[in-house]
Amino acid sequence: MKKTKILSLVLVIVALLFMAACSREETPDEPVTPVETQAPATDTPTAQDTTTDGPLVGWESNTSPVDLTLFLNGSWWLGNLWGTDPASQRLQSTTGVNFDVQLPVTADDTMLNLMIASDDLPDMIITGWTSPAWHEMIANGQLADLDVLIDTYAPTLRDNIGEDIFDISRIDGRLFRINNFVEGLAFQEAALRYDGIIGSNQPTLLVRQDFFEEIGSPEIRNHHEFMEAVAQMQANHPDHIGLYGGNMFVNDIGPLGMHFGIPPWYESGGRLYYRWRDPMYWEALLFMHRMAAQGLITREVFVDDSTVARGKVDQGLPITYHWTLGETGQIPADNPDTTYMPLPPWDTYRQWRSGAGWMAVAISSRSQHQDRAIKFLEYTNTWDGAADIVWGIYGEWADDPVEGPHWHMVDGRPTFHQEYFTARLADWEGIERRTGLGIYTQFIFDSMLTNLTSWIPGDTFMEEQNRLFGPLVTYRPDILTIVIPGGSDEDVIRVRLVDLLREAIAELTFAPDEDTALAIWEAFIENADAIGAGQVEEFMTANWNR
Amino acid sequence: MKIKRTLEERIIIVFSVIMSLFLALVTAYPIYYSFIFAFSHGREAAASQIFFLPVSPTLENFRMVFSDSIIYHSFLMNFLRTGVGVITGVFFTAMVGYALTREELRFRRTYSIIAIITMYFGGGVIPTFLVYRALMITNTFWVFILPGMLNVFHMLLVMAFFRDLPDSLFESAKIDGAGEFKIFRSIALPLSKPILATIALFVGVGHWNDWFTPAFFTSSPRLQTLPVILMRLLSATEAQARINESIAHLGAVHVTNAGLTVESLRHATMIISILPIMFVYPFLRKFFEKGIMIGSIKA
Amino acid sequence: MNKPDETMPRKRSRRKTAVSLQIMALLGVLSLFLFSYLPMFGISIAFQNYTLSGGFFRSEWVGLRHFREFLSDPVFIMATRNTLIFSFLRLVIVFPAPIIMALIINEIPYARFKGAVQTISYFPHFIAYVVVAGLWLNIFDLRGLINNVMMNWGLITQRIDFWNSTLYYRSLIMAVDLWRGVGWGTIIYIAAISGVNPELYEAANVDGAGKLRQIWSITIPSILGTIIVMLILQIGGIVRGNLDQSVLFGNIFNRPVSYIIEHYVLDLGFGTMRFSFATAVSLVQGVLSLFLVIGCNWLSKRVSGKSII
Repeated sequence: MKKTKILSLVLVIVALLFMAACSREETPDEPVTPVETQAPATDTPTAQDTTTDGPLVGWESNTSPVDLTLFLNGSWWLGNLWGTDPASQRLQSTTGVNFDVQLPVTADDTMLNLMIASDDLPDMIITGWTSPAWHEMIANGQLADLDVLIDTYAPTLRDNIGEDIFDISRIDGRLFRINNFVEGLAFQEAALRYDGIIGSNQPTLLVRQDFFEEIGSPEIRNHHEFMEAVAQMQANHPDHIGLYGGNMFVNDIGPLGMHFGIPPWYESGGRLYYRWRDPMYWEALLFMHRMAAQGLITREVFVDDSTVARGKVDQGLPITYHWTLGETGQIPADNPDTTYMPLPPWDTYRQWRSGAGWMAVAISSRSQHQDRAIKFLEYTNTWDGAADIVWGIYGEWADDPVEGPHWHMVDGRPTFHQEYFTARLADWEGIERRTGLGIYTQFIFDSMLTNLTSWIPGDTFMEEQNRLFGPLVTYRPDILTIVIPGGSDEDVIRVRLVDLLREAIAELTFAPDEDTALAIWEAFIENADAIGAGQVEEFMTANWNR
Repeated sequence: MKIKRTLEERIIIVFSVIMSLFLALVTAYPIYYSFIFAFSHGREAAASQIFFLPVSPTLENFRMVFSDSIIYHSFLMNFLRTGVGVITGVFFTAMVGYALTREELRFRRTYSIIAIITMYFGGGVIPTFLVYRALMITNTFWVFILPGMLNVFHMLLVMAFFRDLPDSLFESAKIDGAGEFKIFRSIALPLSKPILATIALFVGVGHWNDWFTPAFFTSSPRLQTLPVILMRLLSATEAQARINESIAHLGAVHVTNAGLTVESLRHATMIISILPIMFVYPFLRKFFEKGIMIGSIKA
Repeated sequence: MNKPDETMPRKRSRRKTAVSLQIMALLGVLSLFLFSYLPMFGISIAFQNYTLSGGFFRSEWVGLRHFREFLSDPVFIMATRNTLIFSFLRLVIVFPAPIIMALIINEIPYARFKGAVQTISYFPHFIAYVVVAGLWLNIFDLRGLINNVMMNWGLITQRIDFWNSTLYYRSLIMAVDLWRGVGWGTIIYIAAISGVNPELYEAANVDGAGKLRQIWSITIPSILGTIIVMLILQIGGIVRGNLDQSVLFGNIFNRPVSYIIEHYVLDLGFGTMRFSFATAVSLVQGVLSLFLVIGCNWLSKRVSGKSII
């Protein structure tokens, strides 16, 4: 009895000591204390004013200190305490704004909903641009009209970012929020020119090189050739998965739509229809069914979450899998001498992008400092502001990835020093935390301002991929920015259809024969029409912004 | 002094030992699994499907969890709220439960039904938040303590225990002229140590693991408890992993961070949060010893 | 002469008794009123089309629209059937397990071993559900431990896709529930067993009753009160299911058996921001639970003389 007690006591003490030990080991890695970094940071803005080559705008500075509260609806945000890194210090000394940032703990909207319901919104709000909460806040009169604020306090904002970015952000014609990370017209043009439209996130199929070489690395231009090649490879390696991809078919045919060139919405006769009405869609379903019939697609392709998928890819189980270009060079555990490499896009490959960005920024109508908030955003959307946030210090490389300089001009465009980029890659989060660069990008609306420097000149692999995939990207904000309002009848039908479609696809993929598969598919379409697919299509067509 | 055991007794003992051993083996494994995972290189652990031994042992996962300096404060806050929560919660629940078992209490059935209704109906997060705010307990320490002080499920358990106590004890105390509160404190409570220890454990685990209250009903950094910090860390890493996959325009690069995966971090945070409470049980065991009841009556 | 002297103080003390008991009970009622009943105004949204902007008092009233919607939805019927099947299986398989285990553990004469078993057996309870799910999914994966071992030993010639079919789902879920709940479930019964008066066993020993007989006629009757409380609450909960379980283990292939009411509410209520719809479903569940609990309590009082209130 006593011994059990002593034993558990010892265990608790060991646990506590262990925790303490962990923390002590941590200390040397700790970034420099705020006090130390504060001193050099205060004179950066002046130094920078003289060195920046970018076009300067007449940003009128009001640096009197002001405290603003900000709710950023992203539990994932790895922000530092405002004012403890050079980036936020630069922003603060130029604009005088000191932010108190609140983050939610969970990934859902509970925290934001509580703030809306209790009418307790902070000065500035940032949440996903598709969030249903926007309509609620607008209906409640909780958001400031940004057109008015911009005209009164920040007129240069209109000169610095494209009008199309404001248009994408408008809800019922009024500007209550502005989307960030928008890939507007200016961005699209520049990105194509500089080989920057395709990033490491571009969806693609990857293949195991050792298996692929065994069958002579045939050219694959379409799904027939793909199926044939995968079948050959699996015949050699029956224990492996023909076509894989973490939770690939989580919604309808998932990425296959892209490979088969099926748009997210089917346009016909001036109306919009669900994509499954596209004749190509049945082609894709048939492909899945035939793949499954040969054992090239297994049930796990529909089921595994990204963690499980990560594990199976690392084990080298898939022969081919759908992921992104960033996966290039993955080494399967069972053969360290080979890698996964991307396949060139099929002839049918098309990617549709909305370009509408990621989140959106709004200002509370209750805020006492609306003028300062909009002026802050005016500044962060200048070249200077963007430099403070993403690019860092301008100048020649001085062998210090934290203090900078970080970028210079190459062929008339801002470019990171290769050495800085290498250092950052080695310790992405550490460098990010110490420089603050890349953390506060949520304040920038136009991707033009943030992404220019990420396009590394001389990266031949990415240049090649841009040539392959770049022309296959289409921007369709006219269709892809239509949001079906949460809780509406159309939204309920949409959710029901998502379920029905998933079920039908899973069933017909593993159906005993093609006739059965077709029967399942026809039953689905009948069912979907009965549930009200037409109503959703009606809504989409009515809201189509041609 | 050897006790002679009958054959029946011996068979029963052998049977129970075997069954218990089986149970212990099967249930010990997941913690062991979490343990080896927490000490493993995340990516490699996923790739090689670990089941019995860690791969590329590392402290990286724990280092990540402890990189947030607020975690020490949140540890203390967690101990504080669990301590206060257990003492007040157990006492209050037992007291109300005691009153509701006494035949002398008028409307006791009504009260019981009032209590049971709350087990099945709730207003949802938003109304709860609005009420707590009107009661001025949001963003105070009391939001951890007051709403959960009376737990109806625990109260029903205590009531079942009280009802099984012999009535004669209370009768004799009353004849001695003791007030009801005194009877509760000096007879009912000491006699119910096993059940009180049990609900203390239940309440304690509830307080220790609760992330919901601090996440939504407090905003002050001083009031953030351990589970919130761990939740935030997890959801941050999880989302970050997803963002790395989908949004980052980084050129032809793959961001890796020392082989940390959501999975390995999840195991590390779990080990950290449950170790302290897992070993509380042996301390509570003395309350389950037989004979304690008789001893206290006779004393 | 003496009689009035004796009854007078007793009456007064009885009144005092009643007053102090009332105070103790009313404190509890007060705390329930403040923290549970006041927020219940939120239930009203079950009859509204609640929006955050309309709030609780200005949202449109729609009567029983939400109730009609889900009661006529075949998906809801399917989810209800699955919920009830799982609850029934749980009642029959999972509910008795901790009672039996507590009786077994109680018979171990070695205190230290007993303590170790108890401490270890409730480990799984502390493990977050997502980790539990990850572990079980992993082990029973098409390419996981069980399949690998069975293939290596030649027990099967083709791998079994345990999770991605309707065939094994219920058995696996019962195994998960047993494994996760038995150890923790014993705590309450072991507490009840230690409340049994040891003199009863001594007397039985003297009468020459064997161990099994003692368990049957002393231990079980003494913890019957606790068992009945747990049983009635369990029955009250049969209209509810385990959401984590359905979300984490459920998938498109086992959906016909894994999809439960809570999952339905998540998809069609919270998933579409329809708090009203979600509230309507849980209101029905709550009413049913309450009726079941009160009904079972009444029945149990009739049959066994024991009740929870």
